[in-house]
Parts: sequence; structure tokens; C-alpha cells
Amino acid sequence: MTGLRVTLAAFGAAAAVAAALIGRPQVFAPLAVLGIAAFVVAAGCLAADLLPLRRGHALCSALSLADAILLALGGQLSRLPALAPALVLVLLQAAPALTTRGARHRAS
Amino acid sequence: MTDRTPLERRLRRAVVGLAMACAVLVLAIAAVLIYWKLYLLEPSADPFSRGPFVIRLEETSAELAWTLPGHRRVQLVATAPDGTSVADRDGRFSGLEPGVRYLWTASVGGVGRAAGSFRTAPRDLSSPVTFAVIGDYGSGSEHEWAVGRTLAAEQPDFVVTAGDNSYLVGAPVLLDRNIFRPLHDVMLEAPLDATLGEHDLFYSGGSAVTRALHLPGSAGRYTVDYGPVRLVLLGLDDGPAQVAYARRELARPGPVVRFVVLHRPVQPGDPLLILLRKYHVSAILAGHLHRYERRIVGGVPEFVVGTSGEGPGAAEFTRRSQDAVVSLLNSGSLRVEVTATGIRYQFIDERGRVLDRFATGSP
Repeated sequence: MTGLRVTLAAFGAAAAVAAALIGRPQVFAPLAVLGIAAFVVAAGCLAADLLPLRRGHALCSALSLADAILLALGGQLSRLPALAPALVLVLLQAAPALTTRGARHRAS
Repeated sequence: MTDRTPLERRLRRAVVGLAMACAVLVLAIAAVLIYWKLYLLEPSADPFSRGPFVIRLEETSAELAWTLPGHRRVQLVATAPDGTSVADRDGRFSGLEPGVRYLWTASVGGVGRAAGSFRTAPRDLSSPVTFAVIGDYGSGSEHEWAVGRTLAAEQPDFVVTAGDNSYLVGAPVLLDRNIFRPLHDVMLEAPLDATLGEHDLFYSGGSAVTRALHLPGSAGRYTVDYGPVRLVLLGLDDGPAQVAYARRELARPGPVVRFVVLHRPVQPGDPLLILLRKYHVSAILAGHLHRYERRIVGGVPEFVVGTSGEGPGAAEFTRRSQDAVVSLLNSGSLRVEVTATGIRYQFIDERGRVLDRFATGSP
């Protein structure tokens, strides 16, 4: 389900840009929309990682699910709580690919 | 990935779609719950089971009472129009200015849970003293509620009741229904100076009503001074003990404007009338007869206000007095305005109409 991960990463990147460029309280609207959308996509991503079970991927998806809630609510607080969940969301999508590549490299 | 059959791939996509649909459902439920909690749920119920209500007003002090289940602390604050605030001590404010309307609030746990206003007694009649008279009211009927609403809108300085505060008896279990709920709004701003009638006295000599209203005397017999106005409340009737009490209280120096309050109307030839004339009593305020009547008895104006809630009942028990100048069956209350130049009386019915007017000269 690479497509869903790419979508989540795109949401995270868009949220990071919004958090960096838009001031409060206007930033709440885009972050809330992106957080809700990310929550729905992360739920699908988690289901995909559970069938069949891929522990690392599933863990990242579960964390993305929780991170999406923080993203949706972060806009109400200061800039850092808005920016941090957005960046974490991007990193969580890259993490499974990076860990798989590292394992292959060590095996070879 | 590549070794999955087309069926497995479709099944996996279906599971992913289902998970996303479930996420949407979770979000929708969360949105509904948040909306319900923030905008649809009522705030927590009134913590007071009775009151707070004003029980005493003097020139520089005021006192409130209430019933609050548990041992929670109630914090009262009275604020004057100039913004100065006074905190209470056991429900009593002191150090107030005479003749000033104070806003008061009662907070429980840091949240304002009740508010009202009261006017401290003025030193003289440079500003009018206004009060209301009700009687035979404590039935919990819709007429009593209507009279209670008009009283609250009038904002009297105090309310005099001519007895029969609770039907059929003044038992503790009935007092919220018959007194405190229908008159809740007016009791936020004016003390009830009540005398007692037969229905109050049936139950333990009227002690339940006396305790509940924090009356300063038993059997409805006591005296209240509100600045330049004195009320001498006698109780049920004008028996020898009541006449002796009236003689003592009317002779005592103090306010110049005096009213005598009792439950049963004074009749012509009554020995009490000699006293009332001697001490220039402005009027007799009575109840018992479930009518509004204005009479002149032995040269003293007498107002019978037995129309504040219980209703007229059978015609044979509600006959018009022969010497009545005005006699009505409408539910309502008497509004009395005492000024430096005279006293004005208005009988106001439950629909706000003034059905009788009367005025006397300088008190």
C-alpha cells in the first residue's frame, strides 16, 4: 500500500508548509482538515499492514493514526505543536522503507 | 506482493476500504459527542434546594438565607452601583450604604449560581419606600405564580404577607411548593415579612413557616423597621395579647410611618382602632377574606388582600363586606408607595392591570 503512505506523507508535508506559513488562528482550519483526512488514510494503511502482518509497518501506521489526531488539534496551540506532528507524519511514512533498505544492506 | 491472487488483492482492498470507512464513522461519532457535550447538554442543576433569598434589610446591613445540600461553602458578594463590593459573613452583609440597590451574587465552588438585588433601607423619605402586600396566597396555584411574577417585576423593597402562607397547612414538606418556588424571583430581591394565618398555625403553631422564612417573632407577631417605615405584625387577630403588643410597639419611638398587619380584618368598634388612631397608623393590612377590599374602619384605612393565590372559594365564605368602598375577586397584590408627600396604594391584578387606586396625604 505504497499509495496510501505517499498520500499520508503528502498530507504531512502540506501540513508542515501550512504550519510554517500560516499564522494562528487561521492555520487551525487547514490542519484540522489535513489531520482528519490523515486519520482516515492511516486507518486504511494500518489495515493493509495487518493483512498480512508486517510489524514495523503496522507500528508506523498506528503511530500515524495517533499523530493525525495531534495534527488536527495542534493548530489550536502554538506553532511548535502544529509543526511537529506534521513532520513526524512525514518521517513515519519514510521509516518502513528506510528500515527495510537497511536490513537488505546488512544482509548483503 | 506479486504472488497474491486477484481475489486476495480485491479482498485486501476491501478490508482497507472498510477500515477507512470505520475511521470516518469514528470521527463522525466523536464530532456528535463533542457537539452534544459543548452545545446541547444543560449546565449542572441548581445546587441550592432553597434560595438564596433575602431575609432582612436594614440601613447598613442585609442578610440572606439558603439551603444547600452537603457542606459546600457559599460565597456571597454585594456590589454597589459605584462598583464597591462587600463580602458576607455567614450570609450577612454589613457596612452598606442606606437607600442603595446592591447587586448580590452567590458562588458555589467558584461558579456564580444565584444572583439578585436588594435595596437597603433609606434613612428618610427623600426617596420613596415601595412595598407589596399579599395574603392567602400559599396554594402553589397558577394564580400565585402569576402574582409572584408581577411582584418580581415591580421590584418592591419588601413584601408583606397577611398570612395563610401555605395551604392547607404550613408543614415543612409543602413550603417549597407553596412559598419558595412561586415567589422565588421576588425573594431574590425583597424579604418576606409574613404574619401567620389559621392555615400556618394549624401545623405546630406556625413554627415551620417561622423557621423557614427566618421570621424574628413567633406566631407572626413581631416588628420590622425599614428606614422611615414601621410594620407592626400582630399575627392571627387582635386578641388581648396582640393589642398589648401593638400598644407597646406603636408607642416605641422610631419610624413615623406605621402600618399594622394582621390576618383577620379589623371590624368596626374593635378596641384596637383606638390605638391605631392615637398613634396615627397609616393603614391596616389584612387578609383572611379571599377578596381585595378597601374600607375605612373607625377612621383608619384598611386593605384586605386575600387574593394572592388561593382563589375565592365558595361564595358564602367570600361575601363582600358591607362597608367596603371597593371589593374585588381578582387575583393580585397591593402596591404601596410611601413618599414624603403621601402614601399611594394600587391594587394590581395578576395581568398587571391597576384595578384600584387610593392615596392619602402626608404620612
